[in-house]
Amino acid sequence: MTASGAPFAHEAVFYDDLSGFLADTVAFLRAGIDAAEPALVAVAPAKADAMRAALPGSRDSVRFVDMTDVGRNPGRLISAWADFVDELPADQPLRGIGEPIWPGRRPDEIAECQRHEELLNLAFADRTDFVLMCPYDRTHLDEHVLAGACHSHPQLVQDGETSPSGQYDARVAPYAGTLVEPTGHVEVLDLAEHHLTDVRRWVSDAALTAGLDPQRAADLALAVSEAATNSLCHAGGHGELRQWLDDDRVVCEVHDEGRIRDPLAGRFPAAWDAAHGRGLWLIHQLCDLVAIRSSEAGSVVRMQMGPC
Amino acid sequence: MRCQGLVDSPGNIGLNGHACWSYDDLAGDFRDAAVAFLNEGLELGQALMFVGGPEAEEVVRSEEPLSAMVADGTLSIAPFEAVYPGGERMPNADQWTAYAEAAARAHQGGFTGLRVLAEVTSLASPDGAWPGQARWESYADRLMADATLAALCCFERKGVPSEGLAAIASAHPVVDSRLDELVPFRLYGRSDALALTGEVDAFSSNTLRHLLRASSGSPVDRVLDLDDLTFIEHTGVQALHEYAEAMRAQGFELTIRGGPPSLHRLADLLGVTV
Repeated sequence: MTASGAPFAHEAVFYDDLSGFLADTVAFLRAGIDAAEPALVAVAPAKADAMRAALPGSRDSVRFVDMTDVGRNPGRLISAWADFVDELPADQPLRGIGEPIWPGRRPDEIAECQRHEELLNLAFADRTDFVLMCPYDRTHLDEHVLAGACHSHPQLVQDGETSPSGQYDARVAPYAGTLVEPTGHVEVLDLAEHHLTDVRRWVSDAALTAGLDPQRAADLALAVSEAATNSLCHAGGHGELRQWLDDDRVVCEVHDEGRIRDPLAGRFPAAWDAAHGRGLWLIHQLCDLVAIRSSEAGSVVRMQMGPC
Repeated sequence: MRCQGLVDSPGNIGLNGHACWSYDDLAGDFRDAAVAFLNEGLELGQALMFVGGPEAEEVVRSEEPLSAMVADGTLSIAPFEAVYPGGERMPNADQWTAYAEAAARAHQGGFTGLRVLAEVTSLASPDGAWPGQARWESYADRLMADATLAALCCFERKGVPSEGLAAIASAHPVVDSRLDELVPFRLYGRSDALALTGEVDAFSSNTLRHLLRASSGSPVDRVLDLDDLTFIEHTGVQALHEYAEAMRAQGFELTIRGGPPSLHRLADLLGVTV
């Protein structure tokens, strides 16, 4: 291991099939093992098994985590990477492989994964000697998703060769745009007119009625409570809660007049006294998917929880 | 088990009951609460004492049946200045000693204990005064758990900022039900533990932190009973964590009993021990 001071490298690699995936990722990990660089791999379990089989004896320096768990809400991923990075010396070269976008992920999840990919460039801008490789399935993912990877990754790996991405855009706008409006029935609650105790019970009852187990219903109620607290404490004391069903998922959304400006708010475990950060971080940990949009017009935190 | 809860009348709070009352009208709701409180003391065989401001004293001396209790010596009136020299609280330990000595004298006189009707708005009404009053109430309450001293602490509703009244009331096991909206949780002493009941959210966690600092140093402070806590938000978990750390710095390990699911979920996510 030799620290070179090389800037954070965030690479997209495009593969056609599992053997292509393994060729790129295993070579990348093997180079790391040879250089005694620790690596964290966040991919789906089946891919992890195939990688382990191709890397006998790598158990010490390569750690695997289940992307379908840790990355279920992509808003948790930067925090997970930070945990890995922070437990190593600041000048320790390290590697990562993360595949947050896979064929079959819901469009609303992919949209948040794409924002996550953009934010990684900002989140680890100061961490040198960290190479993070993000595999994309060129055969099964939509054209716009592959194009998005070229925008969000400064480096592209094609056939084993790394080159700068001509489409890379360093600007991040994690809260830009609007969310797709629900089409079905929406319940609305004015936060200023209800005690938070009642708000939590309202959410919990809706979640249980929709078939969530008590733990998941409690987690969603806790997340909504944190979001509502942010509205009441930091956004002028007003806010509106909306709740609806999206297939078998319960969706809760808190609107207020506040503006969230820190692009990484809630992405890292914040200091205890941070106004917004810790509440948002907890919301990300508790929910299956979190989407935040914020503009002059106000902010919206949309939280989703599925049945299992 | 010590009496606790939100009640419509402080007439059934036991030998070591500690109730916070708000009033709008001395001759009305204050008088009614006082009568219920003192009548229970008579049934329990406690000595009765009043301490309070001049207007409240006038009502006690003139309104039936309080005036009759004063006239026949059942209810003694302690000069405010004697209990609170200079019109202010003494340091908590000294103030407690004064009350504990009065309770001991009641025992020597053949009573089962002492029951104090206190009208103490003036201790909490000046700017910046209520935090000290809240800390004193919490300090005293932990010691009352093992005493035969009962108290009804009365505050004029308009005389204390609502934030202050909330903090003061939160340090009592028994609270005027009209303060329900103001008092999401109560922290109070029991003979085996400090009990926290109700809900702690971002709006009340600073009050919790403040009251936890009022430790009297007794072993009771090292055990927190959260069986009746129904919800706690992350700033409340932080307050408990800080309390545990402060205990640890003094060489004691805080024991926590029970607690709502949100406590364990948040402590786990935040990686803190509580």
